[in-house]
Order: sequence, then structure tokens, then C-alpha cells
Amino acid sequence: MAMLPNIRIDIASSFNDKGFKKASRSSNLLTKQFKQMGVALTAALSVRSLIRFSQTAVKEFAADQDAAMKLAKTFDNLGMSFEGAIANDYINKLQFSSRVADDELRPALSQLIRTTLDFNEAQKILNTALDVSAGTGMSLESITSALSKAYLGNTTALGRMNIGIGKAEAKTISFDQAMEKLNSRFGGQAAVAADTYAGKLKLLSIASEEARESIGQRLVLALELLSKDQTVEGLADDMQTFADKIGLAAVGLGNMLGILNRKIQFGGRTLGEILYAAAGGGFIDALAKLGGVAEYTSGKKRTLGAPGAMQQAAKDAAERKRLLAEQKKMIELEKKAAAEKAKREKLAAAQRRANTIFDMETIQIVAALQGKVDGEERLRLTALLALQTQNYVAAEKLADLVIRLQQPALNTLGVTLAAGENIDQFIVKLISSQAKLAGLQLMAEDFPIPEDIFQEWEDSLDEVLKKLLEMLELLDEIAKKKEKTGIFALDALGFKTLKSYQDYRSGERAAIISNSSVGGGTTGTNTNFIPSSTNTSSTTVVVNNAGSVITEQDLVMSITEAIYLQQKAGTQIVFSSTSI
Amino acid sequence: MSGVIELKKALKQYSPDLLKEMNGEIRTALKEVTDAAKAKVPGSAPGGLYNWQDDGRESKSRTSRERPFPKYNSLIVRRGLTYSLGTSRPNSRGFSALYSLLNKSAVGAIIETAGRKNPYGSKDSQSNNPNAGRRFVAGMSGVGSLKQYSNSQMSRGRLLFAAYVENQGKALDAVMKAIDKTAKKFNERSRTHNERASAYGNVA
Repeated sequence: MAMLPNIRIDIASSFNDKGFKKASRSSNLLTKQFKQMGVALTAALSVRSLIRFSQTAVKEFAADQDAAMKLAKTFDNLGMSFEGAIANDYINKLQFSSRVADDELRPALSQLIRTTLDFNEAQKILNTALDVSAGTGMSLESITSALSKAYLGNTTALGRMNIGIGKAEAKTISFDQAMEKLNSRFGGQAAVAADTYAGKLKLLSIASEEARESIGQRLVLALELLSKDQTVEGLADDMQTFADKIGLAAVGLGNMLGILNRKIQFGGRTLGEILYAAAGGGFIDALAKLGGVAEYTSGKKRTLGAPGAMQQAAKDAAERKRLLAEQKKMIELEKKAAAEKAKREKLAAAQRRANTIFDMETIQIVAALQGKVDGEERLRLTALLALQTQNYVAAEKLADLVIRLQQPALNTLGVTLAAGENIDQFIVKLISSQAKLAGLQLMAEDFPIPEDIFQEWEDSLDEVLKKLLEMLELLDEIAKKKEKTGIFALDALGFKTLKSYQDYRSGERAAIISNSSVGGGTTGTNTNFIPSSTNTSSTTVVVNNAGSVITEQDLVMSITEAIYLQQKAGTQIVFSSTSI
Repeated sequence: MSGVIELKKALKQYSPDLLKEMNGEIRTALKEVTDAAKAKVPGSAPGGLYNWQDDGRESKSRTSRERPFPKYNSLIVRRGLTYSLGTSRPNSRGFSALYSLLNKSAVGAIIETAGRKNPYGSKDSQSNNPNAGRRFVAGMSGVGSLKQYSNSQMSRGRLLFAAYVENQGKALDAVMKAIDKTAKKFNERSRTHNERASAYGNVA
């Protein structure tokens, strides 16, 4: 598991002055060496600032060298050693033009090289990434990663980055289209950013970093030369101790060159100018030449290669070309395979259609069509044939025609097919109407249905008549009046019987004969109901006043009773009066 | 001889039993802090972040970074909460830690420090949900609040740092006492040895 140094609690620290002691010893050693060279410059300068500067310089050189070697190794592994040597120079120049430090550019280029296997392509994508980074403010690392993934076919990362390519678009867009879009949208942004004040400050920062790295490199070389075994490993195991030693050594050959050119003035002239003049003008240049020679002879300077490197590079380039050609071939083969598959599917469909002539069901349908069939049946058969031959478009159209022909029958089912509706919608409507009908039927089945709906009514009317009779008998007994019957009939023996309601309904109306005189008269008034022979629903009431006049009350009662009876029978009563 | 580092070297050479005893006492004191920190680790992903739970499937990076966001696994978090009895390398100021409490795992570090810098989520988040950071930090409140054991903002945390704060310096006190006691014992032994040696020399 990687250690995360900031998630720790240190218990009981102790001060370790080993480094400082080593620094002090190395400083003493260097002082002696300067005395041997005959130059005593350290007295005029601050040792502490030199130490700090040199420590930083060496560390930065070490980090830069590490990154450069990793990039070179990447190129080597991909068989692009020649381009690897060019790449570092390209990076060194690009950082000044784009104002992006080389420690950002190298990982980005490394990732693109691993993805594209082509230095030119990687350069193009890196330029686009620099423009997008300058335009959006996003890190070069994130944009390079997204573009690498897009190059390999995974463009969804571009949709997540808010660089003008939406999520849905990112799923369908190709890499070339995405690059075109980005270049049109963000082209030139890096150059614009470089011209801004911030860009110029960044340039100064990069330049000073490069200077420190360069000095650091030369400090390392100087110490190696001084240590006589000429290897870094001979001096220390890790960079921390090494940097301490170098820093405390302070004044290596290259550092001295830088310091000499600072503007430390004596009488208006720089220290460098004074020494230059004192040493006959060639001191600085001679030192620089010496440094350059020492660097070259030690073999530490980066060159384009030893003998045989060109041939090897040519071999590697040829291998890479071969790999690219194979990759292209694979893509071509895949395309061919896809085309073959489409052709086969087409043939299979044609074969299926051809096979329908041997299909028994199809033969039967065709035979039926040749027979005597009406228009609608012909349409149905043709639709069936279209289904058999998998011609679904034609089948749908024919089915639609059949359904429209059935429109009158469908209307009775409560289904109306509107213009423009298709079969699916029709079927939905049909199902819905049939479902409602079925529901109604189920509800109707639950209703209780009596055996004879009128029987109970007739029975209750008979009961009512019975009660009326009893009331009348009672009245007779009380008033000793003659019976008023209308609801009674005389049987064969002359006994009164109660007529049933059926007799009323059938048109036989009971004659209501009033033989009683109400109010004490000796003779009564006849009130006859003469049923109409033609219209059983009407009855003419004739009041014959024969005999003694009955009282008004008796007459009213008689007429009223007759009217009630007629109404019960369902006869319409029309009132009219005739003056006598 | 001065300094704990030299003491440890001397103990290793001359009195390994004293070194073992000292380390045992220190181990006990530090274990108390790490156990307290482990007790704060929830069994499942805290704050209702159930999709963060490690279900054994390989996770993929959903952002431009290559390394995917680590899934929550309480075993890994607990395993990462540990201590070290070894001396660390000197830092830039020349100081070396004699003993350390560590939260080594990535997911443990996330839980420890989430919300320390941006309590409402970072504006550089690559999530499609603008409130993702806020939601995540709010979810961490299920583990505990951020506690600080020194003046530095970098000493705030909710697992190891919180356990150390709650320990109220007892671990540090116990470590110092153990070193002091051992040093005294060692010095006593050395004096006794010297006295005997000189006595034998006189006799001889």
C-alpha cells in the first residue's frame, strides 16, 4: 500500500544533524579545492544562499532527468528510439512557446505516444490539447487522457468534460469529428494565452526552472569529475544525501559560471567583466569550453546516438510501419467481414422468400384465391398470403382495408374507426368495447328477475279490492244502505263475487249499479259505466236519475267511486260537462 | 550518548531485553490510539453512500484520472490504521520521528480528511452532480466530526487524528515515560557494570 505521508502523527521527534555535519565537511572540502584552483570567491558571496540554490537546482535537474529518461524509455519500448531523441528537444522548445512546463508536457506526450504509436499524430493531438487546456482552464493531463481514450474509440470521456461536446453527441461522434470540432472551437487559444501577462510570467518561471535544471545538471557533472570515480552512485545512495552534498559543495563549475555573470559591480563593471578583462578576455569562455569538453567526454550529454543507432532507428521505424500496416489490415478485414455478413443476411432473406413457393400453407392460400371468393374474402386471403411471405407492410395495408369494410358491423359493437387510425388502434377500441359489453352482461346477470312481474301487482290489487269491499260492507251495516257494487259480479246463482283485476284489464268492466239511496230516498239513482266497445281504454259514465232524487252527497260519492275504479283499471278519464 | 536514536542503538547492542520492554510499553500506548481509531470505522459505507461499498467488482475511473476512486472497505481502512516503532527519515528541517501513528490506506485517508479543505465540495470536481462533494462530506459526518490536535490545519481528521485528540496526550506521555524509564535502567546497568569492571580490575 502506498504511504500517504501527511496522514501520520509523529510521536517524539528528534533532531538529526547528520546532514548539516556532512554539509559542513563538504563545504570545507570545496574550499580547499578552490584554494587549489587559485580562486577565492566564496568569501564575497553568501554560502547559505548558494547552498539553498544548489540544492534546489540539483533536485530539479534530477526530477527533469528522471522524466526525460522515462519518456525516452517509452519511445524505446515502442520501437521509436529515434523519435525519442527528437521528442525531448521538441518538449524543450514547446514549453517556451506554449508556456506549459516540461514536467506537464512529457507525461502528456508519453501517454499520446503509447496510444497512437505515431509521433506526428501525438504532436497534433498534444497541440489540440494545449489549445483546449488554455481555452477551458482544465489541466493538460485530464484533457490528454480524454483525447487518448477518444482515439481508441471511447469518446464518452469527452462528453463529461464540458468542452462543447455533449453526452449524447459524444456517444456517436468519431475521433476525427471531435478533433475538428475542438480545433475549430479552441484553435489558437494556447498562443493567445502565451501572449498574456500571465503567460509571460510563466515563461520567466519556466526559463528560470530550466536554468536551475541546467545548473543542477552541471553541478552533478562537476562533482562527478571532482570525485574521480565519475559515477553518481559512488557519491551517495539517494538524491536527498546527494543534493545535500552538491548543495554544500556549492560552487561547481557551471554554478561558478552563472555567478560570475551576475551583476556584482565594482566601479561600474560586473565581476564577470573584470575577470574577463583580467584574464585576457578568454577566462569565462575558456571555462565554459572546458565545461563543455568535460561534459562531452564524460558521455553525459544527450546525443542522437552512438554508431549503429541510425540503422537501429531505421529498423525500429520499419517495424513500427509494419505494425501499423497490420493494424490497418485488421480493420479492413473487419469491414469486409461485416459486409459479408450483410450480404449473407440478404441472401437468407431472399431464400426465405423463394422457399415460400414450396410452403403448403401458401399453396393453399393461392389455390383459394383462384376460387370463387367475394371481395372481402379475397382481401383476407391476400393479407394472409402477405403474412406468409413476410411482407408485413403489404399485410398491414390489406388488413386495414378489411377492417374498414367491416365498419358497419363494427358500429353496432360501438367501435368507430376514425380516418388515419391504424389496425393497432382499432384492435384497442374493439377490445375496449367488448370488455364494456362483457361487464354489462355480467352486471345484468346479477339482477334478480321475478317469474311474473305483474302477478304480485295483480295480487296486491285484489287485496285492495277485498279491503274496499269490507269497508263498503261496513258502511252498509252502519247506514243500512243498498250495496254499491261495481266491483262485484253476480254469479250464476245470483251471489255476488269479487271480480278479478284481470277482468278489468281484459275490457270487461264491472257495471256499477247503485241501488241504494243515500240520504233516505226510496229509490236510487243508476250510475252506469258503459265501456266503449271500440276503445277499451275509455268509458262513458251515464248518470241516470231514475226514481227519487238522491242527495247530492250520494251522487258525488257514486260518481267518484266509479271514476276511481276506472282509473284503477288504467282507463283514461276525460272530464267534460254538459249542461242539462 | 545522547538522543533517543542513539539510545535505541545502544539498547539493541547491549540490552535487547530493555529495548523489548520499552517497545512493548510504547506499543501498548500507541495501540490504544489505533484501536480507538478503528472503532470509529463503520462496517459499511457511511452516510447512506451505499454505492460506494466495495462489492468485489473491479471499479473503473469515471473521470479523466487513470486511477479509479477507491471503494469503501472497512477491513482495508482498519488495516491501514497502524503505528510504527521505527525512526523515520529526517525531514527538510532535520527532524526524525521516533514513533508514528499512521493511516496508510487510500480510502482511510479519504475518510480522514474529507471536507478539510472544501467542506461544501471542490469546484474542480468532475462529477456530473454539482452537489456530489457536499453530499459526500455530509455523509462523512456519520463517522465523526473533524478534530484538530495541533495548530496546523493539516492535523485535522476524523479517524486517527480524532482518536489522538480524544486520547488527550496519554499516548505521548506513556511513550516519554517508557523511554525515560528505559534510559534510567540502562544507565543504572551501565554504572553497575563499570563499577564491577573496575572492581575486578583492582583485584586483578
